[in-house]
Amino acid sequence: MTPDKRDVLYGTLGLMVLKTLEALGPLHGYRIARRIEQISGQQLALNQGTLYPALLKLEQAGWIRSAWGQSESGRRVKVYSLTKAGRRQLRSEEAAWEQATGIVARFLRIREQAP
Amino acid sequence: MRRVRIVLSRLRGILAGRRLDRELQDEIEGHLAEAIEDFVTQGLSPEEARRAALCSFGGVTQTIETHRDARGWPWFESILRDVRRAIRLLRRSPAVTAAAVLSLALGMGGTTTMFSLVNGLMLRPLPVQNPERLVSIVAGEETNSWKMPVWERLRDRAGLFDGLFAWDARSLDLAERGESRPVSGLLVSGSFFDVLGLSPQAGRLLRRTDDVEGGGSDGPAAVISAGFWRHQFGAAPDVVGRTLRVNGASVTIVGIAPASFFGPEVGRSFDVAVPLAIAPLFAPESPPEMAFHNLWLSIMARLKPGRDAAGATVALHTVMPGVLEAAEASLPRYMRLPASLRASMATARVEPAPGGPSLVRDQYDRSVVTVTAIAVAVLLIACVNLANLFLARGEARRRELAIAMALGATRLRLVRQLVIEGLVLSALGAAGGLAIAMWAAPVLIGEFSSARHAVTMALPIDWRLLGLTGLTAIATALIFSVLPALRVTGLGPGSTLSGARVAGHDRQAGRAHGVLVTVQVALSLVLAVSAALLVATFIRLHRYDLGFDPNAVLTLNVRLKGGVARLDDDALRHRRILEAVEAMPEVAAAAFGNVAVLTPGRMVLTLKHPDEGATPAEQEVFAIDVTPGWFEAMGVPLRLGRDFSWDDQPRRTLIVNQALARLFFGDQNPVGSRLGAYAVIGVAADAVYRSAREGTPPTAYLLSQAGYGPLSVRLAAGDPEQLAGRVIDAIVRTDADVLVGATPLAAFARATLATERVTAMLAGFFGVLALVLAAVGTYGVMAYSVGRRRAELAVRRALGATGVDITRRVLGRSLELAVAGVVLGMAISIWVSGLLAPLLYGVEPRDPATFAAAAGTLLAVAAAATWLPARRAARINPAILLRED
Repeated sequence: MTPDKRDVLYGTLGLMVLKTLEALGPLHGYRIARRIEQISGQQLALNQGTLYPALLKLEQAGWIRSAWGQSESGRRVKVYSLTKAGRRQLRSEEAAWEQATGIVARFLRIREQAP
Repeated sequence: MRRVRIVLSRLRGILAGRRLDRELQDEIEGHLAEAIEDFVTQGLSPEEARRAALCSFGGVTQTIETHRDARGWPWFESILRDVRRAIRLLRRSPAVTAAAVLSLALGMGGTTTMFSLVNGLMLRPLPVQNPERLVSIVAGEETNSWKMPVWERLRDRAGLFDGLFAWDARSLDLAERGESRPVSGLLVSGSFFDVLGLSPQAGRLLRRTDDVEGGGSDGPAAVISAGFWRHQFGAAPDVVGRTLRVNGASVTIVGIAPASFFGPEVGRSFDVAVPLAIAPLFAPESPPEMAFHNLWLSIMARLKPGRDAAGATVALHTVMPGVLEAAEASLPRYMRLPASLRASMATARVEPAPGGPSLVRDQYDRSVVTVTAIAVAVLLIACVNLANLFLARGEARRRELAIAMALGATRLRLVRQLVIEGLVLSALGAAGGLAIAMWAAPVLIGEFSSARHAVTMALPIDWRLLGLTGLTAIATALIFSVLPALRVTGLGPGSTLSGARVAGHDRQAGRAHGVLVTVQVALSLVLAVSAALLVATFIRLHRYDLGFDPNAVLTLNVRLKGGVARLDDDALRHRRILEAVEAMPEVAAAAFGNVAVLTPGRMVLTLKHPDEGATPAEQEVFAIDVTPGWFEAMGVPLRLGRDFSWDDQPRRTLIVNQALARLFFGDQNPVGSRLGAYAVIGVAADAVYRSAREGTPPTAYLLSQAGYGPLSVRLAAGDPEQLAGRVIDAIVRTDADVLVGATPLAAFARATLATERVTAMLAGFFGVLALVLAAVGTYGVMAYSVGRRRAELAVRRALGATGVDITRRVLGRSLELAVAGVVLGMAISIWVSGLLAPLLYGVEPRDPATFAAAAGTLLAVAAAATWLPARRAARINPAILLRED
């Protein structure tokens, strides 16, 4: 994995995690990973391990918090949930993404029409 | 906010590393277990499910590594690892480490002690609110004090400052009669505590309403210091409201000042503070108008927001002439100031004074700065020793370092590791140094005290001191570790690993050690010269012939009580006291003199030159009013003529000292000549007036029958200190209404040399320390070099060199270095001793004998330090050694 790709992945991964936690509420690591794979229609081959450093960074930034809890099958797992600051961050990142994707989409359309 | 949180969480990551690792492990295990379960439900066998789970997770180890890196700072952790490694290495050779730490601790103990004094004396602001806004109102060159009427008019000029206050520090007496019990008093304006922004530890502080004649609602009020509360009242909780008798007047204690507040003057701490307006209560024996006439108040103020001292000076100048005019107009003509003084006061300056004024600072600042520089130089010498040690150790570890480099460690990485070892050592040294300073600094302050001033100073370990110590430790470590580290990592791994001794490199290493020895000898020489000059100064002053023998003389301060008396009554009472003291069998002679010699006090008399047309026509000379017998009591011999007698007419006769006789009469006998209205009746031997440094100025003695001023009593035998009580008893039996305090004259003599004594003591101590360190350094380097050159020396032996040849060779090398150091040191000393000149007395800054003696001492020290290594070199047995290799 080249550093560039991982960086891009980190950025988007964080957003995905935040969005997942907003949609489904508190979850543990494995559920978050599964959810991201499902939503991406299995197109994104996520190395699930990379999720954990990403979770740590989000937690250091104060956007999510963690606590030991129980999984559906009664295992001791760390459960992550969105904080208020995380919700705010998600709003602004969503807006930024939509703007960026909007620009790229328009750009691509123009190129299709050009020839 | 987010930044801070990240930093905190990373710090936690570093500190709780192992626990977090375990947590992550648990979390990953949970993750995998869930995944396996999912795969099993999808129909995979447990074995397949496990493989699939691990596969979709990716690398577990990699995840943990990434996680760990994100948790803390990798560089910080690797530095921590280096620190741990350094500690391990240092512990492996405890003797060497202990020696290194000890010499660093001694060096840093010196600097830290001096930093602590510099901090307490010069850097630390007063422990009050916003001390940086405090300013002093400085009257001019001649005096720094103000008279009451000026203060009264200045304090009402509200526009100038954010509050002004005035005070006077003076000794007050708890005893009413008999032997005096002096306490340190502070007469303060009502605004004093308020403008300083202090709050009481108990009760209340003085207010403006207390500062009125006769006192405010509580009557004459007093605030006591926390220290006085503890040692005088045993920290009694009910002290507020009690009555205290001060100088025979009753004051009510209204509160206790905060414990940190020692008063407005660094070096002196107050016991009792009372309002200015009730000052006349404490000086019933002096006419009340003197409070208006004398210059006795210090004035300070707090700057208005947004204004600086220069701006305040400009503003002050607009009002000062008016204030002075009004103040002078309020006084009778004879109390007015001379025009020159008035002019200088009209242009008074406002100066920043966050640390308050301080006599102790004025007296000691130059010495303290000088000794601090000396202490820093001693630390540098200790540094050189450590640099030698590091160089030697680095060379011993060259193979290990070469392997590390061959395995891919960068040079920077290795240098960092060596410097970190240095930092660890110097941190230990700094801790030791702080411990030494905590003990030594208060001891030193005690040495500052003299019969005239009890010097007390707060010497807290504050951020300034810690910062200075920390910076010193870092600078020290860099000095002694960076160069050796660069040197030992300088060679590529190849040459070292091949095992071949590179002769050229050996010679280079030898040269590095040699340079260090030379530098060390040079520095030590500079210190030896400085110390010798300062010690010589003290000895010269100490041995200075005062012109009298202070050892058998007791100085008594006799204050008559009972209000303002007529002059004749005072004279009669003094006379009776004198007769009672003289009648004691222990007493040889006694007399009053209105100026206490060996103190800064003085009286000046203007005398006309006896020859018409002589220049200058008039001469100001020092003078003392004395009662008959003063010369005998002080032990000043009369060379010509006679002493005063009680029958002489005062203001008509004069006794002059030899200096004055020479000044006015040359070699002629002045007895019988006239000086203005006075007839010269005797010539006394020259005697010191204020201090030995000032020598014996022309002095005139006038007859006094009133007998004001201190009483000098020469004892026939015995220790003045022990007989003081008997003399006081005799006085009190004669006149019950007096207050008497006694001090041996020798204590005043010592007090005049307090600065020189402390300076010489410290310089001498550091000078000896420097020599010891230089000896250790030279020994270390020579012993090391002999150790390394064993093979070479053995070959020389085998080829026919005798033991003496070898000894000469080693000694010669050492002396070569020492001579180079001495030459360099001489050059530096010539410059440094010029800087010392203002502190010196009776010895030339470039005194050849001192320089020669210092040079000789250092060469001898170098030779002595080389003696053992040289003998060991001579005993090398070539047969044994050559077999070894």
